[in-house]
Amino acid sequence: MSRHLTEIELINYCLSGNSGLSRKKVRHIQECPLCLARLDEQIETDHILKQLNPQSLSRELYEPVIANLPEKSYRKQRDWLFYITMAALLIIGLLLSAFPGQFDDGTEGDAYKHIQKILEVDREILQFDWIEGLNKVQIDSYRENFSDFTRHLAGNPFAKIIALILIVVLFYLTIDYHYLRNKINSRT
Amino acid sequence: MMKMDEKEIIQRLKNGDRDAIRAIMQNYQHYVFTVARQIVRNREQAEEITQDVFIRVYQKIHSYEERSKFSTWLFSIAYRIALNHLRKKQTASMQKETMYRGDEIDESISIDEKPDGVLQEVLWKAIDRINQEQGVIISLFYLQEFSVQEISQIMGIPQNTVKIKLFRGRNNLRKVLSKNYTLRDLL
Repeated sequence: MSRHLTEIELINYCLSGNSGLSRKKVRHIQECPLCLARLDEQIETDHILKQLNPQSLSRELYEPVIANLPEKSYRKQRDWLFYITMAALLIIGLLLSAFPGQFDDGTEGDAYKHIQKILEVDREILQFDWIEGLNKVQIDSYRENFSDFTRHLAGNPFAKIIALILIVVLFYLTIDYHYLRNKINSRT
Repeated sequence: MMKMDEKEIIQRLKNGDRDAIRAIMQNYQHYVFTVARQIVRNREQAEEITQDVFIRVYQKIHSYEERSKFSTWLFSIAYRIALNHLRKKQTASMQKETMYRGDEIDESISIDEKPDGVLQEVLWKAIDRINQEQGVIISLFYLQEFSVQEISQIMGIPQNTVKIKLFRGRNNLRKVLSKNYTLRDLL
């Protein structure tokens, strides 16, 4: 007769039946009165323990728990997010207006002037379209001014950093969409 | 033990709904208390721990990523809190005063008719007499029906250790019970 089953082998047999044991071991259990008795004891105790219920608390715990719940920490995180976004937008505004760019004709101007120039051209196009139809020269001028503006941004290292911050913030807001959606739902 | 609406309750908790903790407590407080009592072997301390566990669950619910069962996550917290509590309390002098020795099994209790309350009392008193870790493993295995793998995750010990402690716990329990009862009467 082969050796008796170890504790692990017996418990494996109790937990998952024959699957964890070799044929030889299974045959041993069937033939060995000692192992069979150990197995029966485990099974009997298992049946007794299956009747076990949890113990009862002697007092109500809801109220003390509710009274001791802290303010949610995530709420503060969301406030941080809001302030960071606002600060980033403010910095962008300041940088765009503070750092001068250069027009193609060599004249300098800040971003505000660039935008103004684009808008002026835009207005001219609109007026021109109403009266005489599309004017190719004006459109080219519009395109040049617009590309001038984008070059102004692209050449500005601060604008690049701010753009990067904005992308990170937007990415965070996107992945946190679930939270925002729940917040909107709870408000409505 | 996963309830149908448990996901919704967890979501409510994550949204900061303080009332959702009631629903969680309703489902788990007695189980958490039972496991905590097995660790500290003291009712009052176990109730304090149970309270702390649900406060911690509320605080940490955002770290629950729903990859494992909620109950596994909750009982991991409960186990850690109870162990920390025990370590703090177990100074040499206090250990002597507070260590629970388990009440004597009342031999006059008749289990012939086996009313459930009496059977529970007999079983819990017997569990109190066996090794503390074995008692915890038996509680987790039979009350919450955790698998060996989940218990190993909760207690931070290898699966084979869980198996051996479960095996020995059953054997020790059997010895304690058989001093006063014929085991077939308990079935």
